Amino acid sequence: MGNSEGCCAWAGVAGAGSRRTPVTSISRGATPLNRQTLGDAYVLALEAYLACPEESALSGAYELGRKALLDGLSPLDLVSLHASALEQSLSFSQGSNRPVLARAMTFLLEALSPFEMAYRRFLESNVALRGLSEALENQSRRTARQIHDGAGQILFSLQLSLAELMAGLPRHWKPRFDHVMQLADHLDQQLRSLSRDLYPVALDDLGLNAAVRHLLDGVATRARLKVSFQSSVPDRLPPQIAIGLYRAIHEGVTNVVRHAHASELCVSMQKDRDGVVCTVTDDGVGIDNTGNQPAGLGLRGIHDRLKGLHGGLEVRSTAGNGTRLIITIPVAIGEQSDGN
Amino acid sequence: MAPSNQVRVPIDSDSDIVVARQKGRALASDLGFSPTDVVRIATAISELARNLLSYAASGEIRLEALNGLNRRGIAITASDRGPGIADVERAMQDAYSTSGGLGLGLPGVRRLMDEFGIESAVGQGTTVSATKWCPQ
Repeated sequence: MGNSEGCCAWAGVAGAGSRRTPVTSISRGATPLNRQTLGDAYVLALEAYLACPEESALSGAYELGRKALLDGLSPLDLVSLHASALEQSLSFSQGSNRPVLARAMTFLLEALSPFEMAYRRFLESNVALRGLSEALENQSRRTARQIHDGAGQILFSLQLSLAELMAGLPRHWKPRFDHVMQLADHLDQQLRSLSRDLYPVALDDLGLNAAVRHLLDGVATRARLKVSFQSSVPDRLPPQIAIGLYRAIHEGVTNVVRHAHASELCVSMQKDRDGVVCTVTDDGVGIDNTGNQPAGLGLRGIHDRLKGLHGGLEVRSTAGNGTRLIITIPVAIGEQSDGN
Repeated sequence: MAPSNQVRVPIDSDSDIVVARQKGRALASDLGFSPTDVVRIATAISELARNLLSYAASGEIRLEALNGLNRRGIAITASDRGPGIADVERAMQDAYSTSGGLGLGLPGVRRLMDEFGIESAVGQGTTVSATKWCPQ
């Protein structure tokens, strides 16, 4: 093939080599080989469905659509693939409605073209939103670090200096001095809380497991909860995954402390074949409006964040029998280094 | 570029849009574009021609076959002597397009094509050029 080789990938049908129908190729990311394989598979699946319209064949269609999407095909590409496959499949039959159907498919392609523009806009927006999200996360990280390492350290020095100063002052100053120290402690807690909400610097300093344990230790002390923690997940995961997991756990644990009236809290992070499965379980009062969709603004935010990581959040709860959050995030753990 | 590589279609009415699409489709098919790319090129012509009618009342669509050493392509140029665009950057933002953020209009053409350019002077007119290359 000459110059047109790059423009059209040809999908042949097994046993029908003389009837070659062009299958479109446009979208970046899909190689002609993929397209050809997909084209062949599509023809076979469509013929199977036309011969015997069963759900299994429709399920096959869904899987092919999924593969097409992952291969980078756009809506127009898929319809064009379908049109080619339909033309090939109908050429086996004796019916005289072939040209009409082919024309109808061309008509559909044109009608679908504005949707292609919208689809491309959504893809572009997606990339922009992800970039914005990462930029915001990085900004939060820097600010959290400045509070933690900068303001926090200055306050610590101030507390030390105040303590030294106190040692040299008359005893009757002590009550007023204690009040000043309490204010400094309060400021310290506020700064830590602000820093942690912005970005948990412990995640960078200690790794995921130690950061979660640190979080749970604090909860156990402050909320008088019996806390257990198990993990088989490496300390170092891709930053977006680690922060996504940490924030989901943080939100879940915060909800337990605020609303659950629980006495026990169990957090587990386990790796499985597809990624990480994390559960946050309590023995509290449960959630009334139970369902698959998470309730509450905090959980909604976590749900959206996990969606952005192709993960999911499931809330299982019955009134009076506690709540379990199941957080899943796909990640190729084997490829991640456990070190840096 | 030889004049035979160029087609000029005056756009004064909706029926002229059909003529421009027809000529663009024929040219793109001759150049070896795939059926879906031909649809995209026809869509870009529609959007640009529609813009000419909406904002300048009339104008011209020029279609040009590009035969480079290693690749072939099609250039679509839409020009008018209308009021011009005061803020081109803003005109290219989806939120300000008449499609209400669905990604049609000029931003949609930019996404369908490989290269896109716009020149405008207030009171003198606007020229929008969009090029698509045949994938190697």
